[in-house]
Amino acid sequence: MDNTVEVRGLVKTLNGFRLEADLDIPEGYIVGLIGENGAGKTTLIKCITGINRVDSGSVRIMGRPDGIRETGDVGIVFDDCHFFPAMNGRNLDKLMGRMFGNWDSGRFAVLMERFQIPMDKKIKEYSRGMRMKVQAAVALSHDPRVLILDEATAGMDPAARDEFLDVVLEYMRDGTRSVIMSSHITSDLEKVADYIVFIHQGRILMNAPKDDILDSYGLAKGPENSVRMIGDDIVAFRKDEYGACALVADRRGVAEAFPELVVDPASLEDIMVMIIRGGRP
Amino acid sequence: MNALIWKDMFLMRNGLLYIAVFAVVFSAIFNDAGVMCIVSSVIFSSVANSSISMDDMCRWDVFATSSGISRKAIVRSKFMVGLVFVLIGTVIGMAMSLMIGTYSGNMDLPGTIQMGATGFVLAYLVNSLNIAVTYYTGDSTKSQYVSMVVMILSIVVLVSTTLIASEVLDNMVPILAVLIVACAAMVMGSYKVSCARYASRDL
Repeated sequence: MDNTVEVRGLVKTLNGFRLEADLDIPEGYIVGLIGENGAGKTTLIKCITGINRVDSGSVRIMGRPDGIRETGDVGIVFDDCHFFPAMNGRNLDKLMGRMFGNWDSGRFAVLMERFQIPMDKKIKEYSRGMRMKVQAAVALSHDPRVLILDEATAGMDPAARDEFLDVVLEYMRDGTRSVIMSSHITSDLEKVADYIVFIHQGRILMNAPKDDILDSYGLAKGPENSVRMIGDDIVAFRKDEYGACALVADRRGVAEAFPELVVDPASLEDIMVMIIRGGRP
Repeated sequence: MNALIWKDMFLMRNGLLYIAVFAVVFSAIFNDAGVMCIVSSVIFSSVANSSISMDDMCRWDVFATSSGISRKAIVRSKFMVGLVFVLIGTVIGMAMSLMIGTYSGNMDLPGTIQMGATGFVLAYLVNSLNIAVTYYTGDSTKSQYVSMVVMILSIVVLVSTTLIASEVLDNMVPILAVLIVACAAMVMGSYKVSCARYASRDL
């Protein structure tokens, strides 16, 4: 399996925060990045795209030498729109046509129509959702090999998010492209992601196939003393008014060993909340 | 880089008329054909810095860099945009000089061309220094004050020196030759400083 992005030994220190990362983004897959605010997701994305300088380590995109990027390899949607407010869709089309060698004006027009953004409307008049969508239209119109979505669906209504995810899945259809999707809306990642990378306090805690994570992790609930009996298999532990809850990495094994406990499948959100807010027993 | 230059020209197109009017009015105050060439060029030299401010307002560089445009290309485009605008300012200054010369019956085409060339070289130097200050400080808002001081001082020094030199020497060509060499070196230095500072920064 080829990788579109390879991160090796990356270290970035920023205002007292330290990010360390090693990961691969395989060709043809969607990788979801999750983590609490300030975990390092956006810092990691900025290091991959060259917006931030790394202190050490390397980032290779499409197998090119560290730090070398071709214009248009990467398409990106930020949580903040960096296009000029005085421009409209037509101006952007002309600008991007000059920037990207494989810019497709026709595709851009189709996407703008699909996202219901008038071409003559200036960006300063766009709503938040429209600003995200115009970035997506631009990102998808120059045929990037890697699409990076940094909180791209934040601010979109559910119907718009669903439409957006459909567009992302269409982009992935040829099997040679990759998506890195950072999102707090974990239900979106459960729908579309193939791999999940969980970043917590600047470190990658989890990097595994989404289906494996959802199939194996669980929440074991019951009286505190009974839950504590799980012992070393507990990943995170929280007390509540009814007893206690433990995140476990092998829910079937725990359910078999402790039939008195209620063991439910854990969603990505459950896993995140338990790890961030829970502790060791 | 073609796209970046197009972008700046497109965004500044509406402001160009206002800058041209300001350049005409301000340089007319001096009532000297030669000085008008220089002042008009120097006023237009501030436009490249304004384009950096516009980029900063929406953090355009974040998008450009993440899309694979090199930081060097971004810096180079600002120097190229500066070149274009200084050229426009020089042409306007020379046109005004020739018009006033024709009206007063003192038209001096060779002199106007010399002053125009002098103005162009000096204004591009001011432009390059301003760009370097902006990239060195990393903040186009803060650097505007420094750039304003650089521009005003430059105009005062350059106008005074030019007037004195033109009184002492009949021919501006030797002055122009020295200026071109010195300015070329300083422009190159400004470019290198700009690239180095910009390359090392997080955006």
